[in-house]
Amino acid sequence: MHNSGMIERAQKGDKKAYAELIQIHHRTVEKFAYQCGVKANDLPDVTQEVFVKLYRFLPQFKHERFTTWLYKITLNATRDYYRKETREKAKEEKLTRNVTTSYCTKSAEDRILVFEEDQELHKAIQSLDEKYRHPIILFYFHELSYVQISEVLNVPISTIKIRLLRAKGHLKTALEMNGGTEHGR
Amino acid sequence: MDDKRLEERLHLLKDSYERIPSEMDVDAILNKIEEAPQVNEKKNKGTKWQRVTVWAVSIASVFIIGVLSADYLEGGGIKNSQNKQEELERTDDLIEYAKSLKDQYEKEREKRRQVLDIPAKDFKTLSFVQQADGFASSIDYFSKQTYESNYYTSKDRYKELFEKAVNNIHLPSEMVGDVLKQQEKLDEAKTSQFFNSYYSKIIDLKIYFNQKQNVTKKQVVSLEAEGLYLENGKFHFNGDDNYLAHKAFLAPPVAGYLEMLEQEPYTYAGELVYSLEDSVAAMLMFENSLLESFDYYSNISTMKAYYTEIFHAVVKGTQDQSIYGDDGKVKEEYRQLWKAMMSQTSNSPVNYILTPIVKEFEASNWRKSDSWESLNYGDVDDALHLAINGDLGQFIENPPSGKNETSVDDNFVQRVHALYKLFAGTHDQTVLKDAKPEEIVGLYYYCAQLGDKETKYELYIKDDQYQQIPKEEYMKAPHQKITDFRKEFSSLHFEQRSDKEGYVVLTLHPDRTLYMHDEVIGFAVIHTENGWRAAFMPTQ
Repeated sequence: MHNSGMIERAQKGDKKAYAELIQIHHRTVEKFAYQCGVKANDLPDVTQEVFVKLYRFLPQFKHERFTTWLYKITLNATRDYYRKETREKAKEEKLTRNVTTSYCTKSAEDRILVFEEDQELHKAIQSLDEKYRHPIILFYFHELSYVQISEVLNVPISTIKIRLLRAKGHLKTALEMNGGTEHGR
Repeated sequence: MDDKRLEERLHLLKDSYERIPSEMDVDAILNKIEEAPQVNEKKNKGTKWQRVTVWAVSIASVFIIGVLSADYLEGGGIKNSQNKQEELERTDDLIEYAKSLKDQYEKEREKRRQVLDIPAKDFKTLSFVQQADGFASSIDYFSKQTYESNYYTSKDRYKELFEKAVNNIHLPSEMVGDVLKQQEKLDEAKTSQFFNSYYSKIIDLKIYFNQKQNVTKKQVVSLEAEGLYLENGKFHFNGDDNYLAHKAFLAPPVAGYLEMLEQEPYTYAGELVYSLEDSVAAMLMFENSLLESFDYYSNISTMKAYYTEIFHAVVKGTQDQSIYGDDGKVKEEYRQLWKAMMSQTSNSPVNYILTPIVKEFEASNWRKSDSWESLNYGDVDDALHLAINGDLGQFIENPPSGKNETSVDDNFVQRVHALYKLFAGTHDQTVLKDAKPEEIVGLYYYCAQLGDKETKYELYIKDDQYQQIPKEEYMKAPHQKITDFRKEFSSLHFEQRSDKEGYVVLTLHPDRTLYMHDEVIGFAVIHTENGWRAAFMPTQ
């Protein structure tokens, strides 16, 4: 069944249709949230938050592209997460200092980015300013067009193009400064 | 670092993000939705007059509901309650069925966990287990919903989810066993589907066990059955006889991907991990896989990256291994290697890049080549991209001499493959307008090899002046089975009989399985406004 049929049914309160929508789109949300800086262990909470919000706003959804809307909501959820994360960082550090990291907590991140080059690039993307980070993620990892990115980020297309160029420049500088190996994985 | 290199690394990182774990719980989300206050509950109370209108409408609604309820009590409601009773019975039946599947899945899951001897808390973190659990939890979720007769709450749907869950929990050795049991050659789409799943399971197990401090004897033995061997404290994939046997049932391009799974990494910090000869052998194998396959394989970008890296290291040399000897000339081993590479390929990046380099070096007594000086990673990437799209031939300096006879070799198959990619998706007849009759015939047999009857049918003449076969009849009829058309035909050439008609004469291969009693066969073709097409019963 196509998205539109399922969305219509979900809008009418059909939970099964909504469950199907979740099944189809949850990987997009998980990947996007992780790429935006959410830790692997927090992904279930953020994903849940996105789909709860999405359902609450579902009656307002009209003819916009569904995925554009999904990206917007995920983006807001990750921003909320960032704010909460910064507040609780000090508290968490105190707690984790005395606890030996278990397989699940430590390796959850390591198991995603097993190659050093990937870790290095992921880190470089995370350190970019938000205005550069989001276009890079949406363009290269989600294959969104300039038009779609401008819709998600509410920024003109020309600005997106410039930000992508600058973002690539920042990434190249960061990788060269780190002196990471360019080839071989 | 140039733009291309950065983009390549971004693509590789994109692939790595596929490993992001998923612990999504649909039930928890829906429960939270139930608990959360709805946005539209916070309504503006409106003006005094609006509130009066709302009251008036509410009172009117009470009367309407009263009238409707009376009708319900008179009979309609009884019918509904009977239906409801039936629905409840069917719901119980479905819940029972879902529970039995869930229990069965749990048993299957536990069996695999015990085989691998992984603690339950770790087992659930493996991504293939998470995927399988996801399907199983969907059965659970749907069975808890109020019965509503549709596909999502049917036994068929539960069964489908159950099968997906069990297939996902199968260990790599079981997947190989399934292929061997079926004794049927998988087409490329199924092969890549098989390989992608197989690859992710192997990688999952390798990463998990390589991170463990202590590995038990039982675990080592069970991993050996999965093709993972312990060497110097780390697990490596190493195909055994079983693996070689199942390779025969998969589409040919998988060979390169399996080789990569076994031998990677090929480069480390720009240096070759294996000898020059072994690296080139792997590179040529990757070239075959890349040029002959479709983009179905999940790790295609890793293969492209290795191809480029090996190519660059072999032609440009590396920091540790210069191509130049002490006398300032290209070392003999590189000269021989480059020439051997050129002789083994035709329509490939190797010929495109190495032909001018070798020519220039030879002219300078192996001391200098401008093409070699300017060669970079981007040039190799570009050439590979053109070759994959079938466009490289027109850029090669010395194309094969123009004999009438065309060999059915890798070069020809690549040209045909490129045409297939253009035509198969849309069946747009105009894209074949400039194709040679030999290529149309090649495409015809290539479709037979892929089992693509639809596309093969589209290659027949559609002109009313000529005899045609109805599509339905054609699809039902038995079809030739070909494993590899390079092993059926050695060469082919075109003989034109008139403006509109001609024959492609095919010389048959000594190891052929078709047309056993002939040495050559004629394949009738007819010219249309969109180029040459197969006549009805073309080889009769």
